[in-house]
Amino acid sequence: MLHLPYIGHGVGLRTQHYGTVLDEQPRVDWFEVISENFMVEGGNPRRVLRKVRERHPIVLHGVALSIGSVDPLDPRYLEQLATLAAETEPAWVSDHLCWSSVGGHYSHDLLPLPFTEEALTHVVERVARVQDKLKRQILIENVSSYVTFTQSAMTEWQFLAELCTRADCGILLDVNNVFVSAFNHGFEANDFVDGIPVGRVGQVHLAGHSVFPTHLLDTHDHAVCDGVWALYRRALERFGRLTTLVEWDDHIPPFDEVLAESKKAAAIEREVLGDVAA
Amino acid sequence: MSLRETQELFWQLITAPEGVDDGLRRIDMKSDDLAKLLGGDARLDASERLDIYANMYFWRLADILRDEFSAVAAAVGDEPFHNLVTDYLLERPSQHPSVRNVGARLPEYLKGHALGRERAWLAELALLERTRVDLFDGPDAEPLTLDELRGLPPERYVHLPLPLVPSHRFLEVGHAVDEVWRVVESEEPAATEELLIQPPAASPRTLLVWRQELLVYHRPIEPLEHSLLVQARDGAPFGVLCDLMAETLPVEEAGPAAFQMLAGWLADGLIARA
Repeated sequence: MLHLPYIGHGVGLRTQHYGTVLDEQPRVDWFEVISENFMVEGGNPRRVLRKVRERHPIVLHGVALSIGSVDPLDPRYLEQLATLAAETEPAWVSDHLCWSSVGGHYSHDLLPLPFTEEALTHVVERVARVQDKLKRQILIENVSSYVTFTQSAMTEWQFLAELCTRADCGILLDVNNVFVSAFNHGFEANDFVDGIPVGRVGQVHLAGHSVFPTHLLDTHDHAVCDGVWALYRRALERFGRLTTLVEWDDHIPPFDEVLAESKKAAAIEREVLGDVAA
Repeated sequence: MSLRETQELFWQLITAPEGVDDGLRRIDMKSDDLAKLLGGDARLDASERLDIYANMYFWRLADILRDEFSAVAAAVGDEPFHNLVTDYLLERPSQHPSVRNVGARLPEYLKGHALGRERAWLAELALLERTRVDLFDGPDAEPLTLDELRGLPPERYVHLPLPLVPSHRFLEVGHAVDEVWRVVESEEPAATEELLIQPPAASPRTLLVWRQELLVYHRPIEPLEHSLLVQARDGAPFGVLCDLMAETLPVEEAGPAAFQMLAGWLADGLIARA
């Protein structure tokens, strides 16, 4: 089972907001940081992280673990991540259910996996090794995707549920990614949420996306849309209160606007769950 | 198809220089065969779906490289820079988990690229820009201050070690690329456009690049200062630097001149506490 605390409603720490966060010290429950941006030796990124960590819980969210790649896990990357985690004592560490590299080359994108037994066995073994290295359970996030593989033998949510059971890890449920993938692949978003085991969701991501006539693109450059808010409500009803983060990574607005989205999520949580969320 | 084969095929197709259909042609694979592996529908077929990834791959990295090498981009113009990035990503795909390092090999790559062979100074400009990125989040060190130095008894000066802060580099360049950088940073369109017509003159120099607190700086340095900084970096105390200065100046002027140079280094945050 997953053993992670509820830490409330957070905001992603982005360079555009460093000044506001350090100078004005806005009231935020916690900050999520992109792990790789801080796996550096010094300078402003590490200074900002130290200062933010003095006042807030943080979560390390990675984009380059490449947990599903057939390439070996990068020992140097893992060592740097373990060092950063030891130094910053994050509430938890997360990354994505995807692959990013093959043949030693990195795409710097979150590429989709086929949902096969082979891929599942592969990812389970690698999650276990990462958890051993970090000495903690990690959260694995569902990604937005634009292709499906005909060889997939199970749904994404079945894959995630089985991964959690076998590797004893948790899920970072990205509600926007569920919404985007559901549209792109024509499945029911509610089925995804309903298929995720209760007790395994450690955190939720909310974000905006771009709408094209043929597909939705996970761009994190808009406010959260009504459909994603509705799916978030359903997740709250199923899982109870959920540590939640609003992501905004492109066309980033002033900090107050991002914070307003986070407060909206908190209000919805109180509305759905009542006093238990206070 | 195994997971390895799936990922290798995916990679080949999304990194093809002209999109997935181009990638299919390069490996002699039919669209119908791709459709047997990837699901498509009336909205988007398998190839079009994969093209979403191909576009994201290229444009994301191209944007990052354009930000990192903004002076190179301004100096060569949009289309040549786009072509350079296309060639670079094809021939030198990223080998590091962090996207921060995607441009690490561009300065070296430029030396052998047609654009760099035409204009040898471009690789030097790219090296300056990349060095600034490297030092931005390089190792920290507590700088020695002039007040701390003045607090020391004068007899200790002779033996005082003057280690340089670790986030510094010396760049040997053959052209005034620091001037090109300054022109681009000035954001004066006319001056930047002039670069497309009038390249910088050959002007061999050493550039000192370093980070003071949170900001990265660079400036050309004369051979004497370069020599003294290298000596300081390698452990020579202040007394030795004065002796070296005395080789080029009258003895009575060497000490004050060395102290003046040291005061400048301290003001620049170049000297770390020993």
